[in-house]
Amino acid sequence: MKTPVATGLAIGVGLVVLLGYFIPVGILSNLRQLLVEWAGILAAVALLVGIFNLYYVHVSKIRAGHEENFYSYVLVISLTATIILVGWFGPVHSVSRWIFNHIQVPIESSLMALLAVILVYMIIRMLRRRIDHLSIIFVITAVFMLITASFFLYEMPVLSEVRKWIIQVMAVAGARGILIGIVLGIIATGLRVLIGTDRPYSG
Amino acid sequence: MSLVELGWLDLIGAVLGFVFTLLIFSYIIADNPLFRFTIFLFIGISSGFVTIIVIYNVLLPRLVVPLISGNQGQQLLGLIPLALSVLLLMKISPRTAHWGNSAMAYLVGVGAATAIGGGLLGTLFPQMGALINLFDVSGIQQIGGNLIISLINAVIILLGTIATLAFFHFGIRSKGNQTGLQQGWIENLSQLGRIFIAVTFGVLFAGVFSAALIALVERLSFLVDFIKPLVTLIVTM
Amino acid sequence: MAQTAHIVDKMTEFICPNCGTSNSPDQEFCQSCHANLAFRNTTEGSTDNAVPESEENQSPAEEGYPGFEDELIEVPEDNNNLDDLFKEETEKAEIDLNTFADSETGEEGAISDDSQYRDPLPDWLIDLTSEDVGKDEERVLKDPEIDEDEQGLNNLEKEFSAWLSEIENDDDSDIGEEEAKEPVEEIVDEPELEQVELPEWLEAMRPVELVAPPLRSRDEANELLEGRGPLAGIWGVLPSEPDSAREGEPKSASVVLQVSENNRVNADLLKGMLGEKWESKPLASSQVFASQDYIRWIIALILFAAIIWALTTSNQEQNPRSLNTPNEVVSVYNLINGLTVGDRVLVAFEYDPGLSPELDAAAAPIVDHLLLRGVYLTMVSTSPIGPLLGERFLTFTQVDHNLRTNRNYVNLGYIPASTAGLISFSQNPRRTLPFTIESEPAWGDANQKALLPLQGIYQVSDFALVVVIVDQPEVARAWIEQVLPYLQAGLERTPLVMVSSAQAEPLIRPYYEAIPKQIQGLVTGLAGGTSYTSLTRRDSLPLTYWEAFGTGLIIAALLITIGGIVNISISLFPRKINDEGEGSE
Repeated sequence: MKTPVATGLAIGVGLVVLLGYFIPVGILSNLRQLLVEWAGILAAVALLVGIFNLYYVHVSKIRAGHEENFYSYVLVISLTATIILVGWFGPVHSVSRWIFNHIQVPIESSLMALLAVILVYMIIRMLRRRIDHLSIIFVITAVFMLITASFFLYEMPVLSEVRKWIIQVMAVAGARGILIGIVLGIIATGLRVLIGTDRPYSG
Repeated sequence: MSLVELGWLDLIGAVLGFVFTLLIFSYIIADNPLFRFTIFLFIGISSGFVTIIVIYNVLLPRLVVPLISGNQGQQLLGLIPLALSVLLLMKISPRTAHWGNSAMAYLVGVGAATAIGGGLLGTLFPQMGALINLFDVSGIQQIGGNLIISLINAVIILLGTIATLAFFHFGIRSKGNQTGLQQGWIENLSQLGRIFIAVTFGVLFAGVFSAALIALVERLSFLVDFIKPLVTLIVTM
Repeated sequence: MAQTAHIVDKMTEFICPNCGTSNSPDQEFCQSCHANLAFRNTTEGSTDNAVPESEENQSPAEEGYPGFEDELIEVPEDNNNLDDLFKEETEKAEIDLNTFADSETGEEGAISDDSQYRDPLPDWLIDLTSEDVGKDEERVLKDPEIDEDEQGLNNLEKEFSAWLSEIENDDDSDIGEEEAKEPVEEIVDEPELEQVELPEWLEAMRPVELVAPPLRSRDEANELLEGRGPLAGIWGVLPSEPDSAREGEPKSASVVLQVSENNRVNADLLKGMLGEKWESKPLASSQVFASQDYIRWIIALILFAAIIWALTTSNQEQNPRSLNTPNEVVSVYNLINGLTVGDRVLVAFEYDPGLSPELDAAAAPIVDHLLLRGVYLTMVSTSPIGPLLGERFLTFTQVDHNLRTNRNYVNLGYIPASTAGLISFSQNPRRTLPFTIESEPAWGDANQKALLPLQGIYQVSDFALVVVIVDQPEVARAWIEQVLPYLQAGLERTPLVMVSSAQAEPLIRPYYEAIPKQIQGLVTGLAGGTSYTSLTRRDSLPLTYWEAFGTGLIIAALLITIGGIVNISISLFPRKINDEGEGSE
C-alpha cells in the first residue's frame, strides 16, 4: 500500500492510543482496547515472519551449497524437529519440557556463565588500553561492589554503609538521569513517528 | 538429585546438559566448530519453541477461534486483524513486501503511542516529582531519617541527575580549532555527570558480573554433581 | 625532409609517418612509436592518443593536445577515388617544413627540421617566414578585413573545402573570398635544410628548440603545440580556441598503463634504493594462540578452580540468619505476610533461561512464601519462553508444595506486543489471554466457572499482589509504565514488587527510591534471595550457591585488581616496538 495510507494509519492509530492515556472516556477506551488487542496479534505474526525469514535464509544457504552450510543444516533440522515435536505434544508436555530443560536452558546458562570469564578479561584489557580518571573510577567502583557483595551480609560496618550510599545515592542519581534521558529520547522519536516525519515502516 | 535417582530419560538429559555445557565452555580455549554447532542448535530449538507458543497461545485463540466459533460481531471484527495479518505475512517475499507497510505502520503507530504515553506518565513525571520530593522535610521526618544527611543526599542526587542529563544532552565536543559550543558551566556540569555515570556503570558492571557468576557457579555445580558419582564409582571400584 | 604520409596500399601496409615503421592497415597505432595512425582514413574513435616521448619521436600528439590529427581529413575507407584524390591533394599541398616558399617573392626559406608537422603548412605561414615577413605583417594588419587568425583560418578552410568539393564532385562553391587555393610553390625535397633568418618577432615567439633539433625538456613536453590559427606550429602559446571548441574525435581512456621512459627510469631508481626489501616477504604465519588467549585461560582456570573448591568444601547447612536485611526486601516480606488464604497473585516470569540460575535462586524463597500463605498463582509473561520458564521454576524449586496446574496455579502464557499487550492485559485480561498455555479455556462462561486461580479476576487490579521476576530494566519499565496505573486505579491499590537480576537493579532502583514509591518492594539477585531466606527461615536454593558465589566474587575482584595494576605499570613504561606484529592485541 502506498505511503500516505500507511502514514495515515500509523498516525491515526497512534493518536487514538495516546489519547487514551489522558482521556479515559468510555468510547475512546474501548476503541483503544480493540486497537491494542489487534496490535498483539500483529506482533505475534511479525514474530512468525521473522522466524520464517531465518528458516528461509538457511534453507537458501543449503540449496546454494555454501561452504559452511553444515550449521545451516543443524539449525533447519533442529527448528523443524522442535516445531514438530512441541507442536504435536504441546508446549508444556513432558517431551517439550525435556527438550527445554535439558537442552535449551543448559546452553543458555552456559553462555551466561562464559560471560563471567569474558567480563574479567575485558576489564583487565580495558585498563591496558585506556587509563583516565573515569575508567579508574569505574574500575574502583566495580571492584568495591564485588568485594562488598560477598561480605555485605556479614555487616562490615563502614563498607556496608559506603556500599549502601553508592547504591542509593550515587548510582540512583546516575540511573535517574539515564532513565529521564532515555524517556526524553523515546518521546522525541515517538512524536516524530506520530507526526509523520519518521516513517520506519515504508520500504 | 543424584544421577542414580534419575530415570533413563533424565539421565540422557543430564548427559546432554553435561556435554553441551562443556561444548560452550570450550569457547574459552578457542572458537571451534563444536561451539558453533551448539549455538546453531540452540537457535533452532528456541525458534521452534517461539513458533509453537505464538501459534498456540496467540494466533489460534485470538485470531482463528473468534473467526470460526465467534458470534457475528466477533467474526466481522476479526476480519480486520486477519486482513492486517495477511498483509504483514506479505513481508516474507521482497516482491510483495510493500503490501505489508500498512500493517507495519499500524504496529509502529501503536508502539510509538504506548512509548510516549508510558514514558511521560510512568517515568518522566514520577521521577521528576521524586527529585522534588527528596527535599520534602516533613516526609523525611516521617520516615525518621537524619534530616541533614537526607538533604545532603538529596542535593547530591539532584545534582547527579542534572549533571548526567547535561552530559548526554548538552555535550558538544570541540573539534580541532573550533571551540565547543558549550558554555563553561555546562561543560563543568557534564564533566561531573561523567563521574556519576562512571559510578553507575561500575555498579551495573558488578551486577552483570554477579548474574554471570551465579550462572557459572550453577553450571560448575551441575558438572561437579555429574562427575562426582562417576569419580566415586571409579574410586570404589 | 618531407614529412608526408604515404598511403602506399591501404589494403596491405601502412607506413608510419613518424618513424617509418610499416603497420598493418587495421592498426590504429604504430607498433613501434605508438603514434596515432587515426588520420589514416578511420572514423572510429582512437584508443590511444598518447605518444611515448623520445627524441626520435617528434610527434605533436601530446597528451591534452588535440594534435595534428584534428587537422586531417577523415576520408571514408571504401572510397578509392578519395584515396587517390587525397594522395593527389597532399602532393599538391605538400610543403617541405624545412623550406618556405614565398608565394610572392619566390624565395625559399628553410627552417630546422621540425618533424612534428605532418600536414602541409598553410600558405600564409609560408609567407610569414619569408624575409619580407614584415611586409606581410603589414599587409595583413593593414587589411581591415583580414586579421592573422582569420587569414590562417580562411586558408585552411579553403584547402578543406577544396578537398571536400572535389570529393563530392561539386563545383568550388565554398570558396572564400580569396581563391580556393593559392598556388603553392612546389616543395623541394631536400635532405638537408638551410637555416633561414627568421624575423625578430617570430624568433621571440618560437622556442629555441625549433631551430635546433628539439631536445624536449619536461616543461616543453607539457606545453601545447598550437595547431590552428596564425600561431600554428608554435609551442607554448595560449590556445587560440578552447579545447572544447576543437573538433575531433572523442578521446577514449586508455586501459593500458602508459609508462613513459622517465617513469621507467624513476621506478628502476626506486627499486634500487629499496634493494632487497622490494621483494615481498611471505606473511609470518600467525601463532595459533596469542598472548591474550593465555590470559583468558589463566583467568578461567583460576575462577573455575576457586568455585569448584568452594562447591566441594562448602558447608551448605550454614544459614546466615542474623543478618541485616535491606529495607526493600523486608517490604516484600511484609506485603506477602499481609496476604490471606485464597488471594490471587499475579507472577510474571520476565527473564531469559540464561539468567534462570540467579532468578530462580532469588525468586524461590518468595514464591515459597506465597504458597505457604495459601494464595493462588497466575503466571504470565511477555516473553514467548516465559511460560515454559515458569513451569520449570515451579517444577524445580517448589517441589515441596505438590502443585497442580489449574488448581494451585494457572499458566496463562504469552502476552504479545510487550507494552501494547500489557495495556491490553491490564484493561481486559480475559480477552487478552482467553486460554491457558495448555489451550484450555481459562475464564469460563455462563455454563462454566473460571479456573480456580482466576475466579473473581476481571482486571489486573483485582489481583492482591503483582510480582514481576525480571532481568532487563526495559521490561521492568514497561510493567511500571503500563500496568501500574491500572493497579493504582482500584479501590485498594494493588502493590507491585519486583524480583530483579543484579544487572538490572541499578536502573530499577530509582522507581523504588521514588517518593511516592512506584514499586513497593525489590529483591535483587542471589543476595536478595539469601536475605529473604533469612526472614522466612527456610532452606532454599540461594544457600546452595552462596559460598561459591562469594568466593567467585573475591577471586574476580583480586584478578581485576592485580591485572589492572600490572597493566597500569606496563603502560607507564615506554613500550617496545613489537617486530612480530602482535602489537598490543
